[in-house]
Amino acid sequence: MATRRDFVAGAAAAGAAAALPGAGRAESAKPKHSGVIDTHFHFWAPEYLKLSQDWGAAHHAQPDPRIANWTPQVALDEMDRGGVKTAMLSLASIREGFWGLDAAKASNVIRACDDFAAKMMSDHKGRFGLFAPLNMIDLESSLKEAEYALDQVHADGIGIQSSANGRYPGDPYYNPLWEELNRRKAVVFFHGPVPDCCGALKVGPGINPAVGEVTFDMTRAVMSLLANGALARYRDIKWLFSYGGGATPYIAGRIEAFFKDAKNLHDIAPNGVMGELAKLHYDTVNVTAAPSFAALTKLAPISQITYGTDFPYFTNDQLDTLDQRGLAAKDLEAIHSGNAKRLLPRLAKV
Amino acid sequence: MSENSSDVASRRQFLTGLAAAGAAAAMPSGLAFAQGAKAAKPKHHGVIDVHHHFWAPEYLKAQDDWEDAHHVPHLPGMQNWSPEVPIAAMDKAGVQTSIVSLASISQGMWGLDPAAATKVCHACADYGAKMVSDHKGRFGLFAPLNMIDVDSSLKEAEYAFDQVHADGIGIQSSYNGMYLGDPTYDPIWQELNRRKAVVFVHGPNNACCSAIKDGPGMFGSVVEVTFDVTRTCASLLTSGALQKYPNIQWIIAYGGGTLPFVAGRINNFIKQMKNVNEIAPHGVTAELQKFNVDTVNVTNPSSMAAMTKFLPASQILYGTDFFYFNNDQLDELDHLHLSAKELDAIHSGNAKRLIPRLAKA
Repeated sequence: MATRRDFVAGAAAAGAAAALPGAGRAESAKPKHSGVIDTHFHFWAPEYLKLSQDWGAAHHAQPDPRIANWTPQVALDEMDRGGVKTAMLSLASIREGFWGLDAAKASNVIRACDDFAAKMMSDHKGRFGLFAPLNMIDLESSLKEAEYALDQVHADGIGIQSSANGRYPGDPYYNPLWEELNRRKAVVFFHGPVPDCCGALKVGPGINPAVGEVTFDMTRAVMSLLANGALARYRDIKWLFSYGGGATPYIAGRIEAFFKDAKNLHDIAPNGVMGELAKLHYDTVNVTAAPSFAALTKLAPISQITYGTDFPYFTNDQLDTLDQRGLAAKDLEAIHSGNAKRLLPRLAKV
Repeated sequence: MSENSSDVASRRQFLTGLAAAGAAAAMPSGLAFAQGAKAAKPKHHGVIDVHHHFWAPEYLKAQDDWEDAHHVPHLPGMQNWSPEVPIAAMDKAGVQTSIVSLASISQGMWGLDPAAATKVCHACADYGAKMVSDHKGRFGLFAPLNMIDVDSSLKEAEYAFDQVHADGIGIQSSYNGMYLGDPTYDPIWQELNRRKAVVFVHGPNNACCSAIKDGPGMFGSVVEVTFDVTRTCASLLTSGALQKYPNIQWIIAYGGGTLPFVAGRINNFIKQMKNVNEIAPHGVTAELQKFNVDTVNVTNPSSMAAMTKFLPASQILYGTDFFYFNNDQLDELDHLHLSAKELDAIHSGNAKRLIPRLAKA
C-alpha cells in the first residue's frame, strides 16, 4: 500500500502522471465481481520495454514507473483485486510508427512480444489472452506477423494503434491486411497513440497529451475506416475500439451531418452512418461516467460493449463506476464477460 | 425535415461539386442561396441562433487571399452570401435572432500581422453592427479579436463593446497552436472578466491537423474542430482561467466539441495533478460544468444523451453553424424528448439570460 502511494506521489511529482491506479486497495477482501474479462490490458515483454524506454530517453520523455515496475504478477494482483478472470493483452501507446524502428527490427520485437504473451498464457492458464501487435509501418511484414501470431502463437486477435506515422487504418494501403483478417474473421482491437501531429501541442501546463489526443486519434480511425468503405467491405472483421470509440458516440451526429449526402454513402455505409457505427464494438475504458456511458449506449447496443481497464494506467475501479449506471443484471453481465466470450469463443471454455 | 426536393437536389449538386474539388474545408448543408422563403408558417418561432456566421467584404477578401495563396479552393456559394440569405433561412425556420460570428480561421488571422488583422477585425465589427441596426431584432454580434497580439486584441475588445456595442466576443479555440489557457492571454481574460463578457469559442482549421488524411471525403473540419475546442476547454481548466475569471460566460461550439464525452477521462487524469485544488477547488467536473455549449451537430440521441447528463438544460443554447448547416437541427431537437420548458430554454430562454438585450429585441 505504502509503496503504491509513494509511487503515485512520485509520478505526480514528476508531473507526468498519465493516470494513476486507484488507491484504497482492499488487500484480502473478496472481490465484488467475478469472472470478468478485461479486453484492454497492457503488457511489456522485456525487449519491448527496452525499446520504448530507449525511445523515451532519446526523446527526453519522463520514465513512467508503472511501466518499469510492471510484471505479470502485478497484472495478476490487479485482476484478482477486481475479480477479473481473464485479461486480453495488447501493447500500450506506440510513438513514431513503431518506436522509429525499420520494419525488420520491428518484426523481431513483435515476435518477442508474441512469444512473451504466449508464455504468460501458458504459465497462467485461463488468465490471459492476446491481441497480437503488428508493426503497421510495412504491409508485407505486418501480414507475416499476423500469420505468425494467429497460426503459431494462437493469438485471440490483433491489437494495433489507431494510426502509425500519420497513416490511418482506412488507407487503401492496408486493404490486403484487412482482406486477410476478414478471411480469418479476426477480432481487431484498436488502441490510441498520441499521434505525431498533436503530442507537442501546447494545450496547457501539466496536461498529458494522452488525455485528449488518444481519444481524438481513436475517433479518426473510426472515421477513416468508415469514409474509406472498409467497414462495409470487411464485414467479417470484428472491430473493437478503445475508450468507447474515442469521441465517436458524441460526434456521430456531426459525422452523419457531413456524410448523409455523400454520393458514395450507400457503398461506404449501407446501413447509414449511425447503422454502421452501431455494428462496431467498443470498450468501456474511461467512459463509465454517466454522460459518456449514456452516449455510448444510445449509439451502440449493449451487445457491442466490452469491459476494459487500460491497466496499468487505470484500474478496476471502473467496475464500480459501471455498477452505478443502473444497468440490468443481464446487461452488466454481457459487458463484464458475455460479449467478450461471444467475440472470443475460446474464452467461454477456459 | 421540411426540405423540398429541389433543396436536396441543389444540396447534392453542391456536395458533388465539393467532392470534385477534392479539398473542401467544410461542406455546407445550409444551402439557402437558391431558395426562396417558403410561404408556410414555420413550426417554431422566436428562436435565437448563437452560432451563425457572417462575412464582411474585407474579411472575405482576407480569407480568399489566404486560400488562393495556399491553393485551397473557395467554398462554393460563399461569394453569394449577403445578410438577406440568412434572413430568408431564419424566416423559414422561425429564428428571430442570430448572433453572428466568424467561421473557422486558418493560420492565426489568415496569416496577417496584428495591424492588418486589427483592420479586418474592425471591419467585421462595423459590418456586424450594421447588420444589427439594418435589421432590427434579427442579429446580434459576437465580435472577433485577432488573438495573435494581446495589446491590439484588447483595443479590438474595447472598440467592439464601447463603439459598436457587440453582444460578446467570438473567437477560435486556438491561434497558431496557442490555446486559450495560455498565460499570454491573461490580460484579455482580465478585461473580459471585468466586463462580464460572453465569449463564444469556435473551432479553427488548426495547422496541426487539418491536413490529416484519414480518408477520401474526410477533411479537417469534420472532426478536428471538435477536438480543438475540447483542447481549449482543458487548457482553460488546467491554466486556472476558469477559476480566475469566473465572470466570463463561455459558450463552446459543437456542444463542447467532445467535452461531455471525454469529461470523465479528463477528470481521471486531472484529479491527480498536484495543483488540482487551485484549479478546481470543487472538483474537475464542477469546473468543466461552468461552460455553456451550443447544439450544433449534437441534436442526435447519443450526443444529446451525454450533453444532458453533463450539463443542465439551462447551459445549452441553440445554434446552427449557418450556412454550413441549417435549421433542420430544430426539428431534430424536437425528437429528443426534452420537456417544453427545456426546449424553450434551449431555443431562446438561455440566450436571453446570457444576453439580456435579446429579451428586449
